[in-house]
Amino acid sequence: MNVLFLALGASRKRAVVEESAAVVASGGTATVVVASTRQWQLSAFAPEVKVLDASILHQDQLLWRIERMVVYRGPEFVLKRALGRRGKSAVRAYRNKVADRFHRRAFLPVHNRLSKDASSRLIAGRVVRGGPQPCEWIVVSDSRSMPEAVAVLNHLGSDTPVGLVWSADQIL
Amino acid sequence: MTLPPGSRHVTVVTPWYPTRLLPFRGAFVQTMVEATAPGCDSMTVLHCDRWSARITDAEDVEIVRAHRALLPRTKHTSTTVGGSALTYVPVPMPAEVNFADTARRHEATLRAALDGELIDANVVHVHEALPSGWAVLEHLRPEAKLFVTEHASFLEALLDEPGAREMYDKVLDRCDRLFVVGDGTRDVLLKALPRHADKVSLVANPISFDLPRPSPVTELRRWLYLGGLIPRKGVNWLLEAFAKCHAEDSSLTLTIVGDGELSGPLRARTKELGLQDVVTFTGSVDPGVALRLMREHDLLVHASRWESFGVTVVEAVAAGMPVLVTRCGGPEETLAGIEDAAGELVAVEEDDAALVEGYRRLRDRFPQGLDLAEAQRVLDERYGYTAVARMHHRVWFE
Repeated sequence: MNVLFLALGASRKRAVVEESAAVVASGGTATVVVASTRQWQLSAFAPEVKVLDASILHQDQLLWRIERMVVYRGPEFVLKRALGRRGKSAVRAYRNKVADRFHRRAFLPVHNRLSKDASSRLIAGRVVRGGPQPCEWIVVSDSRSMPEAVAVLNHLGSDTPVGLVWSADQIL
Repeated sequence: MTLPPGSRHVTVVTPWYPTRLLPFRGAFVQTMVEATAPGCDSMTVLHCDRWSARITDAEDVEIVRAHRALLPRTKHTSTTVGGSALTYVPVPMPAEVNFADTARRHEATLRAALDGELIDANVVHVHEALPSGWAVLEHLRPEAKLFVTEHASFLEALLDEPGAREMYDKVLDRCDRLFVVGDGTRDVLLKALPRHADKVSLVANPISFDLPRPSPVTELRRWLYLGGLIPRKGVNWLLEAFAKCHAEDSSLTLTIVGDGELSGPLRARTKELGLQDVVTFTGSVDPGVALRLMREHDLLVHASRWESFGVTVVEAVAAGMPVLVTRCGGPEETLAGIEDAAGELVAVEEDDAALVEGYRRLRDRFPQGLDLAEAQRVLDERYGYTAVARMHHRVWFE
């Protein structure tokens, strides 16, 4: 059984961690899509569970590649070359204090407005082509994931065989 | 499927039922289902689970719309104890919602889940008049009997809210009987809504007495606390009392099971007291693990300020453990007549002295001064599955 958990709200972490572990323990595969892996740093997922930061899904898009180049790689390259041995800590500080903040506060809001349904399209793609076998079930794990789940289902189409549940316990 | 009138099919509607997120919450509803389902033709448990999140009004609107769109497309039925069917439906809502609005949201969710149908049962038993009783009111068959079990430890606050009290009153108008799990809850309820006195009666949370302890308790060394880590439970006084008793006997240990707002402060205080090696915090565990822990410890210590029933205390006696508990409402009713046989009851005080003194008295008269076998026999008669199931079946079907 291949299961994709939508856990974008991170408000029911224990349930997601335990249910995904139960899925892999029963011989299935589990992918957990989260809004930011930072919110889940203290959560102990089972080793076989794949945790996917939703932003990673966008990494092949042109806009994201441009941002990576202009905001991250370019300045970091310059800092490393200019500061030599002190470059590493300077890069770390730049990334935390400038690049990540720009990414969260400026880039993401604009990006989300410009490509409103990009995430759901990419998640739908993940459901269909995510691994060796397509996902059979989507678990909607919190209320913030509900709008995304609707959009994902719209991309999958009304005749999709993919099932929807509120808890993996309903299919185990 | 339409069931003929008189059929012994029961639908249980509850806001609380054990989940992976909160494995303790609603364990008493689960035991009620386990005890009563075998005497029915069939039973359906409808668990409307509150999913809270800190969201804006705009996000709330979007989430509610999405929830309605997803409901018809989700599989939400599985099986649970006693061969019952479990239907699980989340109820999304913002973090801060009053009692009346919470009930309205439950009703709206149930309406959407039923998709215009009525609840397919002649007997509907809800846990909590608000939200569940209110949620089902417009979705009952005209001939359906409605029963309510009230457990809420926050009932007084709920009935202080005028809108919520009015809704509660309407639930009582429609229901056949309302059960409370202790005199304290009944007093609070009838103070606010006295005209319904004839509908209110006591019922016990069913407790299983079937799992024997591998070996009897021989010394009161391993203390156990099970419950929320919240101020009302008096866990801070329990920890202070343990520290004093541990100073007298260094072989004592304490296991604290549960989660809550005091988790951090209690851990910090444990460190301050230098007790990290003898005090264990397990976090929440599922009810099966809790029952196992009871069989691996020697003494249940509860310092609650107020309890409507106090299931854990009865479960501890069922597990063959003596108990050291406060007279906080529930325990003096559940242990009436067998206080000395089961352990020691102490006064609710805003310090640790009563617990420390209570422990010393209990230790001094253990084991000769106790009679756990007699306590178990009496509690089985009062709260065992057979007794509680018989009472439910009588009111449901006769």
